[in-house]
Amino acid sequence: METLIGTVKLTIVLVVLASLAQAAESVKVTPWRGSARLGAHAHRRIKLVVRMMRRSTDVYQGERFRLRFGGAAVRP
Amino acid sequence: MKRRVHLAVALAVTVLVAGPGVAIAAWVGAGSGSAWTKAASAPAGSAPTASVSGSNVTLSWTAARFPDSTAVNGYTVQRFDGGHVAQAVGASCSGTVNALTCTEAAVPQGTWTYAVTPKQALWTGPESADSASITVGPSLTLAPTALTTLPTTLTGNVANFITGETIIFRLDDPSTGTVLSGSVTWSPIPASGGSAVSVTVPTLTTAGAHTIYAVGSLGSQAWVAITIAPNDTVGPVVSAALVQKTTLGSAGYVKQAGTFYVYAQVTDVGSPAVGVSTVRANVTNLRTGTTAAALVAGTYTVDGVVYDYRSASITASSPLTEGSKTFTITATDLNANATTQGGFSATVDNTVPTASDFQATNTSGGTVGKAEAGDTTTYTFSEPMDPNRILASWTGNSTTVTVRIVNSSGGDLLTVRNAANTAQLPMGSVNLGRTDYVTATINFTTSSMTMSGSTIAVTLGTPSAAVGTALGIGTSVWTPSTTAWDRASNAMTATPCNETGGADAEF
Repeated sequence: METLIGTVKLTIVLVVLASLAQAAESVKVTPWRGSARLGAHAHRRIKLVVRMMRRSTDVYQGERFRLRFGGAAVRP
Repeated sequence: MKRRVHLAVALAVTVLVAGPGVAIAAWVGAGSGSAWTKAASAPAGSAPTASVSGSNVTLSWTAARFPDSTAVNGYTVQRFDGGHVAQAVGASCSGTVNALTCTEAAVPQGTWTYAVTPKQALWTGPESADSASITVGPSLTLAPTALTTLPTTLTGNVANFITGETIIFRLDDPSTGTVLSGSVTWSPIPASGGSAVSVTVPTLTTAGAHTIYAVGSLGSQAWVAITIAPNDTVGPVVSAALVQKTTLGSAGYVKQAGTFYVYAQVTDVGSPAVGVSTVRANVTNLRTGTTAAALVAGTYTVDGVVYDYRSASITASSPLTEGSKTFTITATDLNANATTQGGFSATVDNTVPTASDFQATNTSGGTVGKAEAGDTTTYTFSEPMDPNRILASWTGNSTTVTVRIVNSSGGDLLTVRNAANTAQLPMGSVNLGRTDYVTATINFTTSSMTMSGSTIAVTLGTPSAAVGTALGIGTSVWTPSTTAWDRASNAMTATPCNETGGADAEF
């Protein structure tokens, strides 16, 4: 079997705060742009910028947000 | 909100490849995952500093910053009263203040504290601690405020008083406190509301904490707290002392076995004085062994002089020789400074007074032998008598009495009665030696009586009826009353006394 090098496309799909329905509207995650080449079963760290929106209310101070993301390998 | 949260995402990608012999390879790799990010919290405010100028209060504070050093973009300001109840803040400091300072104008009179709360969009940070309290309104500044000697003059200023007010200074109470000597450079207070002032804390102000009030005539009031450190290193001053028999009346005389009080005027001195602790009398010359009779504070008046300490009743020794006897007063203050003051004396008098003479003299232009207004009767005793014993509360000065002459077959009798003519005074009676001075009882109302040395003179007032004229001479005989006392309370003898000079026409 030959191991190939491919490209991954990353997508943030959801920002979730379980107890607060408007969490996603209070946080803005800047889309990650770029590509990463990595081998099979390899890892790569990427940095995302997450901002609180101005409409974010007091209740979000110090809260933890869970980010769900996905990625797919695309043909080089 | 532009708070940034950095997120590290680890993404595992699996690339699947077709098996050997397969002509076409396909990309089917996909994956998903999750991560966490934590929002920051708004920072707390820092306690503002407040300064007062007139009725304006200027606040300033340091910026509240997020962990990445970004400062918040606004603050709300609150003002609290002494009970930490929030007050409405003036326009210039109300709402969101997008600066690190603001000035609240026209702040009401009172004592206030301030706090600031950081604001960032819809977020609010924790409120700051309170500022130091500030007082808005009339103010008084004086220096020094820690006094170690008295009197001390303090100087300073008043501010924010009402234009046209005059100011007085009081100690410890703005309404009833002692008015202090002071001066106000600009009086009445000019439009600026302020003036230089000075005020003097007087001698004898007690040590400890005090408050000086500046009281304006139109209601303004301000105060300054001062402290006076005890600095009393000298004993009290004993300015006067005497003895008085417990039956009161004349002071300075006692008799053996008689009872008496010791009085003293004592004032503590110092800068300031700490106050009198104890006052004791050494009267061992009057009462053997009594070297430290305690005197109690109070207000006592003897012969018109007020004394502030008095002993309990002391019984003079018996026997006790006559003459002047010295005694001393020892006063100690609360700092244990003691003063023993001598130079005081009392006279021991054990001699019983007797009647020496009686004379009745005609007034100028009067009729000899006729008792009429202006005629004078004079009683001479062997020694001065206690006037208080003759007539209650009498000190010997002129007082109104009634002279009564009763027609009597054994010789007309003259007595002296009180002004209301309801009781005879203890001056005995005088047999005028003839029966023709009056033919019925005559009361000479509004007569006057004075005492001088050993004599009591009584000037006849208005007779109650017509009075005749004696047709000859006679010898008056005075029979004294044993109720009368001398100054040491020795009772008078009742031995009669013939007038000196032989028989004559009285009045």
